[in-house]
Amino acid sequence: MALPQTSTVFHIDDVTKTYQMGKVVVHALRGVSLTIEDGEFVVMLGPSGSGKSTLLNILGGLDTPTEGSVLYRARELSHASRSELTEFRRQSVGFVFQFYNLMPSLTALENVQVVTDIAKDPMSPREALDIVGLGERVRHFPAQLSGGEQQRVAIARAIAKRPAVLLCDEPTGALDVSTGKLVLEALRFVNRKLGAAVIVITHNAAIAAMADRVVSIADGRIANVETNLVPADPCDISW
Amino acid sequence: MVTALNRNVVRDLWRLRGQLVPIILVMACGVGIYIAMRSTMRSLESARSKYYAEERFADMFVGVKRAPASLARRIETIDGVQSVETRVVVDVTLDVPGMIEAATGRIVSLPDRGRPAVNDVRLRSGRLPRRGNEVLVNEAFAKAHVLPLGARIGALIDGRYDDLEIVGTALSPEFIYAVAPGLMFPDDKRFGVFWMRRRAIAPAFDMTGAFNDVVLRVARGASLHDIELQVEDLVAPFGGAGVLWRENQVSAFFVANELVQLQSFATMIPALFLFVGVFLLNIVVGRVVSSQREIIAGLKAFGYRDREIGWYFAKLVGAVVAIGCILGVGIGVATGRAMTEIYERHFRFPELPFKLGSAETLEAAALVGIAAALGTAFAIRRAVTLLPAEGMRPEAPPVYRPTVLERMGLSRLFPVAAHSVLREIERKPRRSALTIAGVVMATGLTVMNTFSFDSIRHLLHVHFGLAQRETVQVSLHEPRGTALLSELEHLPGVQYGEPFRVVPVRFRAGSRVKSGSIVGMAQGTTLMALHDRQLARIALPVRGLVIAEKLAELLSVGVGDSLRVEILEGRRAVRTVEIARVVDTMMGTPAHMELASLCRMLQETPSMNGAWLHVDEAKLPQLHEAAKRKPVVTGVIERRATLRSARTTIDSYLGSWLVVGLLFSLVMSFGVLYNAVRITLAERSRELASLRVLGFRHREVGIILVGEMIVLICIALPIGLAFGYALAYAMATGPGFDTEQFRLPLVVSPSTYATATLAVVASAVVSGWRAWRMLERVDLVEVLKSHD
Amino acid sequence: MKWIKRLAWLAFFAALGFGVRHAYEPQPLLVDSAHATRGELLVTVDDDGRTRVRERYTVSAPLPGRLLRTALIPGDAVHANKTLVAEFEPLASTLLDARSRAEAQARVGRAEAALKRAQAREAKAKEDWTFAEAEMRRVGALRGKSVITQTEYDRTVRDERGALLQHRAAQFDVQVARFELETVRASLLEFSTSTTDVAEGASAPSRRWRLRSPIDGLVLRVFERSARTLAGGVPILEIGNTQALEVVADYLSQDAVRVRPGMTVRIAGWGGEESALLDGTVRVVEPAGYTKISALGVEEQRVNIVIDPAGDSGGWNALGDNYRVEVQIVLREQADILLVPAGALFREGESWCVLVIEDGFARLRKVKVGDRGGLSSQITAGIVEGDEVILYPSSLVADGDRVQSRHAP
Repeated sequence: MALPQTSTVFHIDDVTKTYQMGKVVVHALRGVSLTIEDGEFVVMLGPSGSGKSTLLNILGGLDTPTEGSVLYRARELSHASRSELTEFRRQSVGFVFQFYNLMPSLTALENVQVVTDIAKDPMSPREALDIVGLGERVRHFPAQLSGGEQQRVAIARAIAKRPAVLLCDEPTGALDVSTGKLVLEALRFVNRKLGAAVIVITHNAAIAAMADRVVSIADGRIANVETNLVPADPCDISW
Repeated sequence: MVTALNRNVVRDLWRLRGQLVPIILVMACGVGIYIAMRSTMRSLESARSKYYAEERFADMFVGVKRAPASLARRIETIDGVQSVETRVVVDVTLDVPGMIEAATGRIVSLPDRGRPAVNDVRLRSGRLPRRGNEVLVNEAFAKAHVLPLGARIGALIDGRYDDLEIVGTALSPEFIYAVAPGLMFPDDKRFGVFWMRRRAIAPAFDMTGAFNDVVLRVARGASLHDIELQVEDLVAPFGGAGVLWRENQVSAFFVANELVQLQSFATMIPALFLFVGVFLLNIVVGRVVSSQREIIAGLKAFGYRDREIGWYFAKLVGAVVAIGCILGVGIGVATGRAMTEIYERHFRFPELPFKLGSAETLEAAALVGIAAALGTAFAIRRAVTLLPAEGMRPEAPPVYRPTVLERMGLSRLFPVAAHSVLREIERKPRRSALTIAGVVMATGLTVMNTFSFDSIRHLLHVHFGLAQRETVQVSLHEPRGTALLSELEHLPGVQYGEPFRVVPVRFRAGSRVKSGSIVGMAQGTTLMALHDRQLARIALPVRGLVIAEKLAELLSVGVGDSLRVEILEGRRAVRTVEIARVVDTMMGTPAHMELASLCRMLQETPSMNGAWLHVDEAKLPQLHEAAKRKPVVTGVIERRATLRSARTTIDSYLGSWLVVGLLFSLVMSFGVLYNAVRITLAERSRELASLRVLGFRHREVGIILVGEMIVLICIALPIGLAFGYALAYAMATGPGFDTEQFRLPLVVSPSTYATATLAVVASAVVSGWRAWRMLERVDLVEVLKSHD
Repeated sequence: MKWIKRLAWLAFFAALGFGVRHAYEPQPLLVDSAHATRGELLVTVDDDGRTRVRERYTVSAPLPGRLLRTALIPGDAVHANKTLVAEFEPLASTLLDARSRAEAQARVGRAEAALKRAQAREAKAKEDWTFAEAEMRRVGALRGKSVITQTEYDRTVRDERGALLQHRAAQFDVQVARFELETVRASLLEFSTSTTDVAEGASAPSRRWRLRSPIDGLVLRVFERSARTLAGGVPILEIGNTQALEVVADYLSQDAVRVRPGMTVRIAGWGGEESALLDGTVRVVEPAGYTKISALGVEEQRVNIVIDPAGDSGGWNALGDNYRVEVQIVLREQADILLVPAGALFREGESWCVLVIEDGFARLRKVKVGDRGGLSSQITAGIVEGDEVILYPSSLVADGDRVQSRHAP
């Protein structure tokens, strides 16, 4: 493993995670180690149940590993308290979920505002929505937006706080190809233009083409790490 | 700046309005009843203290036969006595223009000059009497007969009719609740109070330089017992008939009793409403937290602190509580005003304003706030402690178990729908139990509200239909030989009569003492019948006393025990009498004895001071006319008139409260049931929609939705009716309704149970219908798409 | 299958509906009731009366003198001409008085006249009685041949009885008059002898009169017990025959008008067992009334009605003189008529009504009322025998209400 450098965003060392779901014990991660650099676009591939979502949660400070250490810019997260983790997320992390997770009773603008209200130095909600191309739909409720539009709102929400890291869990899972491409475009924009490290989890191998690095996860372990010397453009991808 | 999250509080409130409105109503009812009752209590109490203080209301009342005026000074010197006022108080027959029946007038003397030192009057119109037969009359009587100032009323004084001239109307704390002697309900047409200067009334009753009534006020902290003993000693030689404390004075008793009744209600009923409201809120908030699991997780993912999430839900709860309180204040004021108005009609205060008590309002708000906080604490805590990662994970699927029926092996007898319903109920036992508890409380409340109607009807019927059967009851000024009966029987229209003799006595059993009276009557009377608890007639025993159960209870005696009886008139003999029977009476605490035995005890020849007469009703006007002209007759009271005034009083009292109470109960049962069915709808709409997709008809699916509520009601109703009976029992045996003056019988008729059941069923029908329609409108496709 | 289900639902709802309706039926009110029966009705006028000894004799001082203490007390039995009732010492001074002597002579004269009067009355009474007796026998004979009605026969019996009693009274009066005369004569004699004694200067012989009882009977009252000087004519004691009583009742004149001699009388409240009644007959309704102040302080006109005992004398023997009784004079007697307790009747406007219990419901019925006596009233129309009527219904019980009898004793 390379030594942690100041441009390293995340450094995970031998992380294990087990949890109980109802009556079942799940071994989600079994000793995972990984480093992610500033501004990297990483895609984590793997089938469902492989543990990638769990890894994302741990990276985002939503969960703590059962064993191992997680460093964010040299800060130890694995034994951080809840409030420390909350602060971490508050300042530095943006999330995009597969099923958007927007608040149905707020407009697009307000959904973004929810996050900008607590951020230290956010961009205006309008700006964020413009970035994802939804400037015209700011007053609409999620129910009035298509799936792709909702997901873009979610992205706007995630980037509005100018996070250092953007974590995306199957962002295109619920979308068709053309809409999915739009979303990926937005992610790419965020990564390139705003300099945020973007980590995307997906089971869709085609997306991996646009990543800087592709990490394959299977059965709770890292199976393979590939580097794309020339990441593809989203419009060139299809599945 | 209004943050987005704050805006969401408002949006959420609006979104959830269907579920929150019933809760808000229930809370508002609780707050409203609390405020209404307590503010009314406070208004009543303060009006009373003010009135008593301003008019120097007496602490003790003493009646004597005839005592010299000089005795007043000796009473004044008793340690602890603050002020004394001697008076002449007599009851006379009145001939009121426009009324055939004679009315009874209580004439209370005013000192010859100035105002009385004790029991002053409050002038309402006109002026104080100055000379001759000028009188003040109590306002209610004047109003009932529409008597203007200057009107004249004939009063039978000293064997002839004198005209009393009304120069003013007045009120007195002694007659806030003005009932004729021996009755329980005010009849402003047949009983009036008159105040006259002493020199105008004393001579006619041989009271010049003497008095037959004295009232006194005691200093703070003085020992009432000691004063009573000393006063009794002083008045005994002059025919003292015992000392009455203020708390037992008729008017003061009824006012105080009213407050006691209010006190018990003011605590219990709001508590029920608040309890139901809070647990409904608990359920709804709990559900909201569960259903917004992912959003909460998302917010936390975005860095919202735990306490910020908690604060969000607290604001939600707070808004509900605030709206409930505001609405509650409105309800409270309206209800309180209505209650005060009813009191104004029965209790004659100079003024009885309804004041919204700020203390009560704050108390109510605080109670609701605390209760809501406690009730929703756990749900909010769940939101606060939710780990974001957990929140993102799908909730563990609900655990279902085989139902009771399946375990009993009866599964095949019931359709799938039934199983589904039962499984749902058994899955969330706590919530089902709370819904059942809510319905039980609503049912119980309705029973408690409604049963008093039947109870009072029963009381009236037993007293006026089975016990008292006379057409008229005649009272005499003083005891006369029983030969007088035949003369009474010769009055117009009288077919036959039965004499009675009432003697004021004091009963003693060990250390317990109770004042009262013994009614002597002949055996085998038909116009007055005694009965036992099962309402079977019992014969008057030849010897011994028949006493009311309440009296037996107060003296701790029973059949076969002996009582010391101190006769408070005549020779003032003291005798020991054996208790032959104890009977259940609902009004007063009468003691009966065979007439001849009683007269022997008094060492008198058989005498009577009253009679019950059976009269041809067509001749009643002539009877009243004739009786008016007989000086020794002081009262001719028609049974049906007494009954009528009782019913009027009661109807006006109970009628409106019945409707209001029913409304409140409906709010509670509707709130509980609507909430239950709405939550089931929310939780199971996905499941039910799937069934629809699979081909089930709306009706079949609707039954599953509504079935849960039906099963819960079937369980809750029997318990609720039993709970209602328990509440009724507690009320009827509680201090407000089990008193010396009357005891409310516990009569819970089938119609009461039916009303309670129907109220619940109605709420269920409305709730179920609403949910049914909402289920129809559920978009199958949308529901299937989303998680929840 | 489907229609079975539908039927089941229908049945369920129907049952529910009935249940609810039944629950709301008001609970039956408990009432006292009685059945209309056929029976006899006595219409009476009642008032209070008192007993009176018919034959009453007042022993008075025949002369001014000194009464020696009597030993008799009320209740002692006395026998005619045997028992010593008083001992008397005439005042010596009186004996010397010419005027007193003349008075005594005059008294003798009066007594003789009274005796003659009494004898004349007695003779008349005897004639009346003989006639009445003959009449009775004659009618009695005819009765056997059913020419005469029972009523008429009864009347003659009654007349005979009355005449007999009158005769007896007249006889007694004669006895009394005779005794008076003898007493007065004897006192006159005393004048003669004593004067002589005094004139002769002998010491006053303190001659004692011994007064003996004129009749058999009991001492009723003793007016003078201690030894003292009395004026002439002052009553000493009263003797009467309590076996021969009559009852005198003062009735209001408007009631007395309805009474005729010969009417049956029931005497109650005389102190015997609760409902024990004595029998009597009205002898006479006095023609003149008098004013009395009632117990209620009003002036009333009263008439005395005298009643003779009748029937078994057991109860009568227990009564003494001046005992209070309740007199019920039977004006009319009706047998086998429809009766209800008077407490069942009430007015609706001008007409009499009852509430009849039919199948657990109270039904208002207008009735026509005939006579009323005691606690019962005669019903002439509106209900039939056996109908159950509610007693003393209060205004809480109305036509159509559910009621239940509690079987008053």
